[in-house]
Amino acid sequence: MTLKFDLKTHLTALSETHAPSGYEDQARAVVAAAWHPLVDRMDTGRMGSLVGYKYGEMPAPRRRIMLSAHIDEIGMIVTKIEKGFLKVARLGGTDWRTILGLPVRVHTQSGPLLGVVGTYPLFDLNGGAASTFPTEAAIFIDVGLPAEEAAAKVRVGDIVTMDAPVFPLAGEKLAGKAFDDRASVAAVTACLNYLQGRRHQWDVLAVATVQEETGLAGALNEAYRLQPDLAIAIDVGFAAQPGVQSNFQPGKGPVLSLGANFHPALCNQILEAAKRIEMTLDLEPVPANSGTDAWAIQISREGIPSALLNLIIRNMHSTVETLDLRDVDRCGRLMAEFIAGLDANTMQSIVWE
Amino acid sequence: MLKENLQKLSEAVGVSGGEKEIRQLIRELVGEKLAELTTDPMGNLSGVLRGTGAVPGFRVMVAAHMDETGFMVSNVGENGMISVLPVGPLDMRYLITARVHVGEKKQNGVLLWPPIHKSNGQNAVPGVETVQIDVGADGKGGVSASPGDRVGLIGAYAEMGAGLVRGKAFNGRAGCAALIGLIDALIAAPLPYDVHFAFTAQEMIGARGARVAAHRIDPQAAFVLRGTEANDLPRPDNDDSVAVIRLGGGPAITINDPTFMADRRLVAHLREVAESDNVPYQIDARENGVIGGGLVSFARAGVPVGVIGLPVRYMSSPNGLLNLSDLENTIRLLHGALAALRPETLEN
Repeated sequence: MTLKFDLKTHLTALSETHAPSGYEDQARAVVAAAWHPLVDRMDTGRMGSLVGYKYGEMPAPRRRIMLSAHIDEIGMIVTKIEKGFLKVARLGGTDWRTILGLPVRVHTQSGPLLGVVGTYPLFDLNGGAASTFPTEAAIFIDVGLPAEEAAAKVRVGDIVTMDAPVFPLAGEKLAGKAFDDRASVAAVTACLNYLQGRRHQWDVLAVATVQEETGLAGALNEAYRLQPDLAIAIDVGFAAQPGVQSNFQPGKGPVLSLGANFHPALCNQILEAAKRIEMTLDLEPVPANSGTDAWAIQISREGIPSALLNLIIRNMHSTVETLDLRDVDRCGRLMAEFIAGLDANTMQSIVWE
Repeated sequence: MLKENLQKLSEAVGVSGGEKEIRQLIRELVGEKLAELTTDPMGNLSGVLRGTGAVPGFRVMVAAHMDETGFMVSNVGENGMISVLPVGPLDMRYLITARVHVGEKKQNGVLLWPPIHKSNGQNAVPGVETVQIDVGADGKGGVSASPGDRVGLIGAYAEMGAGLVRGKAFNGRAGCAALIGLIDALIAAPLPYDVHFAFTAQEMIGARGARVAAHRIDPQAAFVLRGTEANDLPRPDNDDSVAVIRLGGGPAITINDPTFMADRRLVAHLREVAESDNVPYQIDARENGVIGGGLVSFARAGVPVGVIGLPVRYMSSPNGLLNLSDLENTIRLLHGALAALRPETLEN
């Protein structure tokens, strides 16, 4: 079946939304609008994660599968206002080296201010300092306002996000910010969309989780509250590029992780679903901590069999995270196929020897 | 008009030696206003605004450079990744994940950077030789550029608060915008002599265009506009160890660069005009980079040159900040300086 909605438009809206960890309101609104026609009901958890419920056909109490993708992004928070310039701390794993001279938005009480990430010019530095990246102390946000005006508009605690529109590359490739992990949220939306034309027995709990970048809080809370029978986390994975050892490239489909964080029987059934639709599904060994929502979900309550699907991107944690839109669509289609195959007996096969 | 022109000028591509797009844009913006609009063998675009002829034989050149720094494609790998060489002085600190236009077809590309998870602790700024540009192609066949093509940086032009604009290539293009603004002012009130406008090529690789333009025009005096780094940034209290040029502080009348002294009579003339016309100004004696004025002064038997700097913060990044009041005051200062300039100004 073909997609009724435009995945690229949806992903673009998600990427360009400003919503760092702990301040996910804007992203939640975009997701809620997209999911509204695709689910039976929605609610928002105490910490701010959005849950869309798409009910299955089996008699109650129905089995439930949680799809978890995080809506927060890395960003910054104002710590000090110094002569009109803003000093900031990181929210999540922002890479100072990648943001010098790039546009930002400072989210003030009276609306967003445009700015630039600044540092000192080379001729003001001695030769040695010029060949290394500036330290955090020599980096500031410049909103171009006189000191008094900046102090009146900006408050310590205001958040700062990168201002980076989605940038189309060749073919179906796109560069942009916050594809980690809103590309995965878009894959969940694609899955819900594919499920519109399919019958499924289980309830689908689509969860847009908060605060992943600062410690998996959203997934932890929602796994506890929702008590799903199975969970699939969707997150981004590293592409091979200079400085990164990896077997994967964008455009070759999603990648399934294997390791202690994941239930092998669940992984096998996802692989079987991929076979049914003749989709290549490469495997990535992850010995211990996957660093994703799956790590938190797996140990919720009495333990939840979990799996992880990865969308392969380049330049992770930058404003030019680069992916292939076809991978997002394929990931959604694969999850829909897997979900359509779940039935009343599935849990009897998600077991150890 | 000034703002609209500035945006178009900033966004056009014109890496040194490959100024076609920016030259075409300036031709379009200048239109029929200048006579003898010509592209010379270096790629400089110049034209003349005729005066009333009341001061016969006097010729003054005003110049701004239209080129910008960027890259040149050196190799396209089988995997579709592009290696590059630097064009002009690049501050790689600002280009780590830059967005670029590759080649004349302006294929979108981004610079690769290993994620922080894999590169934490790498504090040395990488050299240009390590840069790989990704256009999203799956192999060499998907790349429209080939070795020798230029790669231009992409900025995020925007109007900010307090009369500031953000964008790329203000180093040269702010001066181009000022010169185009000056044409209209001079048409409204013609001077008694001819003013030759030169939009010069190859400034960022040694101010080569300006010298050739000066030879051709053979002026008795020249004024060169250029961006100058505004370094009014947060510093410890009482730290006055660094000479500071302020954004919004007015045009910076420039004294020298490491290779050149601006003509002291023209420096004095600019100061006098700024004082009498109440144009805010600053004095820039920081030896901040080699400037086009130097090579203009070497043309033929020597040309007295005055240099006016337009303050730009983060000038070598794709998102410099420029205060529109500095741009307007630069036009006022240059207009006033030309109006008051006579052959006698240079006698003593």
